[in-house]
Amino acid sequence: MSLIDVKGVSKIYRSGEEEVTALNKVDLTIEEGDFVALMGPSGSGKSTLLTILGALNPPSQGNVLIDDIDIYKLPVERRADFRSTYIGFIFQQFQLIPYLTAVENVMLPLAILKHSHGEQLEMAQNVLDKVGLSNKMKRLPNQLSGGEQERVAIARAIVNQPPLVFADEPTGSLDTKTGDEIMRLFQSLNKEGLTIIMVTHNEENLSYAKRTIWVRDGQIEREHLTGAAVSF
Amino acid sequence: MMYLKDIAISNLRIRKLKVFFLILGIILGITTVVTLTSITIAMERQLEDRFESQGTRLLVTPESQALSLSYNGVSVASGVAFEAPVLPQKVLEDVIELKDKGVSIVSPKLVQPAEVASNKVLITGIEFNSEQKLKNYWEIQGQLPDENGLLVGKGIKDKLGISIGESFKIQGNTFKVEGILNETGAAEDKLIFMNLNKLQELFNRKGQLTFIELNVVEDLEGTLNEQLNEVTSSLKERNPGIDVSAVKGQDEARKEVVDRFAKFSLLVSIVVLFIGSLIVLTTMMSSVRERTKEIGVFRAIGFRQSHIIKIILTEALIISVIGGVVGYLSGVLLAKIAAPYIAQIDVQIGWNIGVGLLAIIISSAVGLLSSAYPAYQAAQLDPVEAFRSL
Repeated sequence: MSLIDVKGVSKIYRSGEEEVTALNKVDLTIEEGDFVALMGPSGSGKSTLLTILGALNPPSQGNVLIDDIDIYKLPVERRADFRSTYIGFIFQQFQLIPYLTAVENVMLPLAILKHSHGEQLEMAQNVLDKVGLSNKMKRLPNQLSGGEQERVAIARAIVNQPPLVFADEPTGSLDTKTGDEIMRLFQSLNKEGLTIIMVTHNEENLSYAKRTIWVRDGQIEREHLTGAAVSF
Repeated sequence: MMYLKDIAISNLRIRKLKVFFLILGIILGITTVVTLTSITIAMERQLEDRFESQGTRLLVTPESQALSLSYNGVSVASGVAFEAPVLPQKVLEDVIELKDKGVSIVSPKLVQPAEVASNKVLITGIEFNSEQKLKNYWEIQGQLPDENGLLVGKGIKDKLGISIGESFKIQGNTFKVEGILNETGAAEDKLIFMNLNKLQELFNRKGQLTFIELNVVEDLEGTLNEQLNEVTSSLKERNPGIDVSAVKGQDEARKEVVDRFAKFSLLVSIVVLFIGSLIVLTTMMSSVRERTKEIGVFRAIGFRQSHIIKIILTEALIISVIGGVVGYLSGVLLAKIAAPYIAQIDVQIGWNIGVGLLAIIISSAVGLLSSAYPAYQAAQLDPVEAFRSL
């Protein structure tokens, strides 16, 4: 059984009388432990695909099953609950909450789960340790470098141990060296069993992923296994 | 720790200017409510004290024999009497006997028309000490007159141009003006007062009275109403030809003023609170618009709509409680300063826990109700719309 099973998914945006087909009958499967890079030009539909896979954006047609659960048959609030335990997000430009410290940002997904303060802190410290930021827990985002903010964003995405993480342009705001460090971190998390789906424009990132899927004009143009998959 | 309230508190800490305006809106409303409520309560308390100590005033008069005539609804003659009615001395003695029934002050009066400085005036003979006890709102320039002195009402003083120390002849006897009564807004302004016995002697009206004013206070044995009824029926039994009626004195008149002030205060409070709530509503709406991305992140990572609403309403509640407390403190301080000018009272405005709690409840209600729509709007944000803007 695949972790993610996408069947005949289309997404049509309507603006007045105008219709834009962002995705057109997409079929896709993602296995547990995959590290998938979604590539494509702007407007190709890859971000729309990401949001649909992430249980954020109901498709106009088709089904999305995650762990055999048809996520868009769930009521809206149950879908939110599903996201809180099953999915981690790493947003473009980090999107850390500016008035929360690094450790508070990491604990954010835990605010709605039933953990004691001690448990929250322990879980947050563990993941910050994992991403190499345990010495900067009390810093605000504007006191961190781009790379450090990205690490906090990663820590926030994995703090509640979801099986699945979606990352939107994780190295978009970073220099090459820092970007490589982040991609190596992704690789190491993937080795531990985390399934990662990443949207990227940067072809250099592809070598870290196991699969690359090219999206163009709302359809999957092609896909292939990358060097990382071969080496695994 | 990270719970929803911590998100709310952390957000408020960083948006100091917005929070300041929000709290200010609440403070303005609550200060107004507390100031007006505190002054109203103090005025009502002062009135209560007065009523307790001074009871109700009764007027004993001869039964009215006046006739009136009207043609087709137009009054052509009124108050036409066969002879000027008087109360005999016996009535006064009966009233004084009722002192054990709660009668606390007795002030007999004789009203006599006379000529003073070539002007027709009404002179009222009174027992000055009793009358002053009854009319404790009297403010006298000069002094309370003795047996040969006169106390002149403001209206007469202005009409005849009288000053303290001036002397007049009345029925061939010389009397000196020893006191002038400050304006009362009542009939006293148009009267000249002299010693009752002296007036009776001067006009050969020994033992005659026009009316008697008396005060009945509540004592331990019965309610005020029971005592009033007892005094009235007892006097009428002993003296069939008299009327006994309750007088709307200064305190009753003041009660009307206080009641009107209370209604006016309520109206002003509602208006100011409404304005405060509009300030909260618009500021919170703007805050929600600014936080579209942030709320999008919350929704994306799994926050339910109810979580978003709780965060916004928690922020509103914190602001409202702070506004309520500060509004209460500033309201009481303002009441202490303003009470002597607005209400012309010298009663102490105190720190009332009930008013304080009410202030916090009202401010919380205003804050929560005003933030309900912005909270709803925030919760409705589609996480994808916010994701696109990210």
